Amino acid sequence: MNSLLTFTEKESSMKTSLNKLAHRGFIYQKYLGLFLIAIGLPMFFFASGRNTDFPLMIGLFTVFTSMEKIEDERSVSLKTSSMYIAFVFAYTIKLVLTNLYQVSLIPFHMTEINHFIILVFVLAISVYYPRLYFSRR
Amino acid sequence: MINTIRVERARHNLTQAQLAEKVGVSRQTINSIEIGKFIPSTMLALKLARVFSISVDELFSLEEKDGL
Repeated sequence: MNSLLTFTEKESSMKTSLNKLAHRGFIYQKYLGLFLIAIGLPMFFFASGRNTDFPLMIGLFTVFTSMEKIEDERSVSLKTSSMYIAFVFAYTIKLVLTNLYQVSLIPFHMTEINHFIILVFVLAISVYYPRLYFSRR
Repeated sequence: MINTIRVERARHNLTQAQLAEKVGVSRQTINSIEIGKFIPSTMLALKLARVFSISVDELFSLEEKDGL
């Protein structure tokens, strides 16, 4: 019985250490994401060829899915609602752009799914961080 | 929903940061709860009540506009 208890305690402490390690990893993930964005931005706008939007898209995704030092219920709730707001806005922008293009008011429209995903993440990050850090009424 | 966190905090001489550390959330979360912008989960409400040694009922109460 004693050995079983000790094993359970050891297992629980191992799980806690693993959780801490994983959490720390999720925090440092943000720096990796920022690095990818820094590389991805000039590539997205200036490089030609296929898959030039990948680093930016993955960077934005990495930043958005990274954890805060204190990840609590409010930050999770804000992240979810920010993504919802971003998706609705991005889809509205996509519809408006397509309509304006069809009536020849603008010379471009969004055809690439990756560009739509980039727009969603840009909006989600822009909505999430101000809401997270500036909570005054 | 209204709450008396600010009052209890003052009574216990705690800053938002100290209270946040005690219940394991961020300072901004405590601030959001105090100003009524964020409604905490049952678990967090119980933790806050325990810190102040009062019941959840004393810490949080419904308003007329909450419709009950």
